[in-house]
Amino acid sequence: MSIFSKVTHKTLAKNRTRTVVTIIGIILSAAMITAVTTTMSSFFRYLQDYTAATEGLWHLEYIYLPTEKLSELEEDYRFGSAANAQKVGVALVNSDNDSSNRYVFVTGGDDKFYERLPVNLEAGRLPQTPYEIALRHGYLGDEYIPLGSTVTLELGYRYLDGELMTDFNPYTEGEELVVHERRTYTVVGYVDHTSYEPFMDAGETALTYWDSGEDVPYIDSFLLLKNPRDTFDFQQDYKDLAGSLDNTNYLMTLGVVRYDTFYHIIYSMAAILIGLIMFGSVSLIYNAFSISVSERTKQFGLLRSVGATKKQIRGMVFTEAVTVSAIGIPLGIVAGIAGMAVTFHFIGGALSDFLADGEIAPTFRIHVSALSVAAAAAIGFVTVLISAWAPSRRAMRVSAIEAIRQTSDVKIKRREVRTSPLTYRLFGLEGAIAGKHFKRSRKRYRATVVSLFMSVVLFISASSFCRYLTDSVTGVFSDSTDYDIRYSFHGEMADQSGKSLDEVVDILGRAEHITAVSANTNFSCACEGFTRDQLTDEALRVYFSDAPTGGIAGEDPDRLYPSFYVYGIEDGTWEEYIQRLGLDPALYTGPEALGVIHSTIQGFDSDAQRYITMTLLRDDVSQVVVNTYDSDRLTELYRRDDYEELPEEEQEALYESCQYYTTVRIGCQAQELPMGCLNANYGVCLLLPMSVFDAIPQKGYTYSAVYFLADDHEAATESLAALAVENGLPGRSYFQDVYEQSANQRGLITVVRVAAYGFITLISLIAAANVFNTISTNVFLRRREFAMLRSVGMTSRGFNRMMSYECILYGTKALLFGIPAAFGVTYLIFRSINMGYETSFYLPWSAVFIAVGSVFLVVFATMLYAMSSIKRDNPIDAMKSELM
Amino acid sequence: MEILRVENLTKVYGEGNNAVRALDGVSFSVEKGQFLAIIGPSGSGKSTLLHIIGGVDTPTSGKVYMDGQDVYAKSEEELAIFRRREVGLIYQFYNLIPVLDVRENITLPVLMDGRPVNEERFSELMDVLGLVGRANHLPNQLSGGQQQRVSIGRALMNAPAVVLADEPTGNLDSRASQEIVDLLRLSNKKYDQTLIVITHDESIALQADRIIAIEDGRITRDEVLRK
Repeated sequence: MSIFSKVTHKTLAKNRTRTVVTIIGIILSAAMITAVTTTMSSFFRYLQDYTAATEGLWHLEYIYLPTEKLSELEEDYRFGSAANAQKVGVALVNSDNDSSNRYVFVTGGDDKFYERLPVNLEAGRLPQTPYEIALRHGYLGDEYIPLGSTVTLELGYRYLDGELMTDFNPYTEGEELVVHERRTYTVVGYVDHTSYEPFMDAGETALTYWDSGEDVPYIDSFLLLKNPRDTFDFQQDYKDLAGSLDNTNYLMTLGVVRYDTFYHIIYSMAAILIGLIMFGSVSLIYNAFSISVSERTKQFGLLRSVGATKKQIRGMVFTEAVTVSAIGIPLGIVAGIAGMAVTFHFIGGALSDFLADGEIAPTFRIHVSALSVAAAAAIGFVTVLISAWAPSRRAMRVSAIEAIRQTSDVKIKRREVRTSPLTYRLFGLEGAIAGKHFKRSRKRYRATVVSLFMSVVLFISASSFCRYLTDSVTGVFSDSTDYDIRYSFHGEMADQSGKSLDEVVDILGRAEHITAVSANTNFSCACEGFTRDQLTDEALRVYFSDAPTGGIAGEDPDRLYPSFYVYGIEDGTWEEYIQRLGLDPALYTGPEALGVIHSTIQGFDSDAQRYITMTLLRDDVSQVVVNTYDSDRLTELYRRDDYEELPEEEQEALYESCQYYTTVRIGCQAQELPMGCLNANYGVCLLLPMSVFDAIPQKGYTYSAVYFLADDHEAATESLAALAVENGLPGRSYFQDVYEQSANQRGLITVVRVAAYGFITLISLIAAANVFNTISTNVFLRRREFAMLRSVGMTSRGFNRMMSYECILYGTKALLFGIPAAFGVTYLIFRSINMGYETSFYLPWSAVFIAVGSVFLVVFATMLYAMSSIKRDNPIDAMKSELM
Repeated sequence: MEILRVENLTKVYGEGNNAVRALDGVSFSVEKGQFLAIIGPSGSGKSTLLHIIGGVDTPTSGKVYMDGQDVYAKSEEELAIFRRREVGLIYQFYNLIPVLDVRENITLPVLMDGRPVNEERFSELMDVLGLVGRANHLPNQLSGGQQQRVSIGRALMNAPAVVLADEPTGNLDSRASQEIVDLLRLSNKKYDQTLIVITHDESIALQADRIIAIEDGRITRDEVLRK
């Protein structure tokens, strides 16, 4: 080890606190960089796992490969392994149909096939012998086959003009099925294997097990090559053997197939984040080196005077950089990986739900690649080098004579250190000295103030960013659903299923895991309008603030028209609702039943600049007139060539003849709605029993739905779907597992929060370390000055006053510039968020309070720490001490 | 043999009305093995002269030749090497590297060169300096006199052309001061070491071979006491 490294190491060891804080800074920055690179590598790995799970784990597929040709592929040096499936044969199951389920393709997979291909078991088990079969969704053609029953199939191959057809060939007029075998299978399971199934096909695949005792002439072979990059060469080399397909999606995640835009976005996002982190860390680490260099000015000068070259001095600064990096970066990488492991452990499930859109998919796990670690280490080291570069240049410039004389730091003019008499009066001599000091060594203080300033801006803007982000994410997804599963149709229930809403509720209510059911049919229409005395003050002020005063044609100018929605509530649901509201069932049933209105909504109060909850109608509204129209007749009317030429009264009369007015008596106004109802148009909702609802003519465009609460939403959805199919109702695709969807959304919110607060925490830590380092060193550098002040009789109280004043100077200066700058950034964030999501500008006061509090806390704590170690000094020793 | 020649050295600090002439046309030459004392009141320019000779400060005009080489014709890099090999500097406040022990401080100029330490010379120096047994002490474990002896050791380690000492006894009591002067004289005799000492202590100056007095940047007296 050279003498320069030795001096550097010993100096680092001597200034233990500063070295440790610097290393902590490097650890934090390396940890954050590692977090980004690890997230990226985990994300790419997840994409790989996910595509392997959904598309299958293979690079290249050979379709209808003559079985004996497999050995040719296996002998190639690039061949890795293969999952194979025998093409046992094709059976005609639905001769009427010439498209998707005319045939069943019986395919016998081996163990690797079941392991690597995305076969999703829906019921039963997978076949384990060549006489067992698993059917897609339980159907053979159009026929539903119960588990455990047997099916006999006439198996053959399809030919067109003597040419073998594969499963990918759609049905073609004139094709011929040449049967070669008849086999009986036991149905052991139902499967789904959409991604394995070709799109344009003439049938569906049924899976059996590999028959080792029989020579099946063709197989589908799914190859994994030793190196996925050979895929296309390999495919080219064996293109004569059989048709082949590459697994494009999977190869893309391996980086074999380029998908530039997508990866470009990910890489540029990571680059921006790393850039931000580097910016923050460089300011901390730069400070540390800068302090270290100015502290060692004399050491450098002395070494120069005894003959050290500039290069050797710069070498010392870089030795310092390498030393602290060698400790900090590995620790940081470990910390970053550990942090992400913990984070992914908690949010991995939510993340994969979000990314995989609810499908059965692998869990998001941490994946640490050599590349991600190497990249983090390299970026971290570059960060340190950048930070060390400027100070090392300064170190080189130190001339021997300046260092020996130590005269360079006091070159000031009187004017520059003039302090205001006010300072003198308020803080006494001590304050004045602190003020002069602050002015004298502006450069040194600027570092502290700048680092405080940056911390304040970063913290506040990061907080507002998080707040806006979570707000918008929550807001977008929180169209509050009070139910778990929805079964919905456009139109009235009877039109869609041939059964009334009541009947459907009766049937589906029997499903397992259901805890509550509610149903309604609804539509939007016009109403007769409300007079001003029927409306609340808030409604007039906020809701109708910009309503046209004259009224539109056909509307009464004295009335106001909120948006209007009519719900017909299914009988059982209505009964429960009336009971919940504590109303008399007798008044609310039958053809003469009373209706209920709801008009409590959220609205933006532009006076108060925020969203408020308000009720539009007064409680004494006793009737509503529902206005519907016969749209066919009205259209016909408008199409009449002579309509425009008719006299106005006649036009009016014809128009009115298409209109229907239904007067509904209102029993009460409610604050709550039955499950599934939503005041969706933000206006007035009219809730009616079906008996009254059905009497409204010409409802136009309606929407019907049954809503369920479940204790197990997945099982309940399955049970509901099965029940629906059994009873001839529309099946699976009409059920929406809303709970599942909102779980994904809740997951996303968690992910956003965790990421945001993690980022804020780390940035704050970096900022605090930065401030600590700068201030404590500043205090130590002034040891001699303090000793002098003490020797001329400054008391401890005086010292505290001086230091307090200095802290206030730092803090206020940083905050004075920092808070407005942070508000500016917040406004920019607001502008960018507001483009996508309607939100109001808000000033992040809580973050400001936290920032103000922590700035002074960190500054005072650091001062106290530094002063406590200085107070133990003997003034004379300190005065004699040489700052090296 | 002439080891050092100073020609018409001038050093001006500041500009215009504020300009101060610290040195004003100083010329002299020193023979190898000579013990030269430079005396003068505070602010007379003696330290400036010493720093310029030692290659740490630069003259406004004039030349310094050491061992026949023009010192200020050298590049920065060469000047650093020159200081390392040809000049030994001793300061009033010792200026030792506090994190290095006695041995490392003394051998610093050799270590900086990346050359192996001449153990024979090192132990001889330790012996002469009276530092035997203290090789592994850190500077703050030594007395002022001992620290100054370490810095003399550092100056002598490379057997430089010239040893320059700036008030080497200024921070020491009279007994320690005499020890240091004895040591310097010993090295002067024993190694035929050229020695230039700045002092304002007449008694020390009188032990030198030659005294140069400086006032207001000019040589006012140049007196050879012994040959």
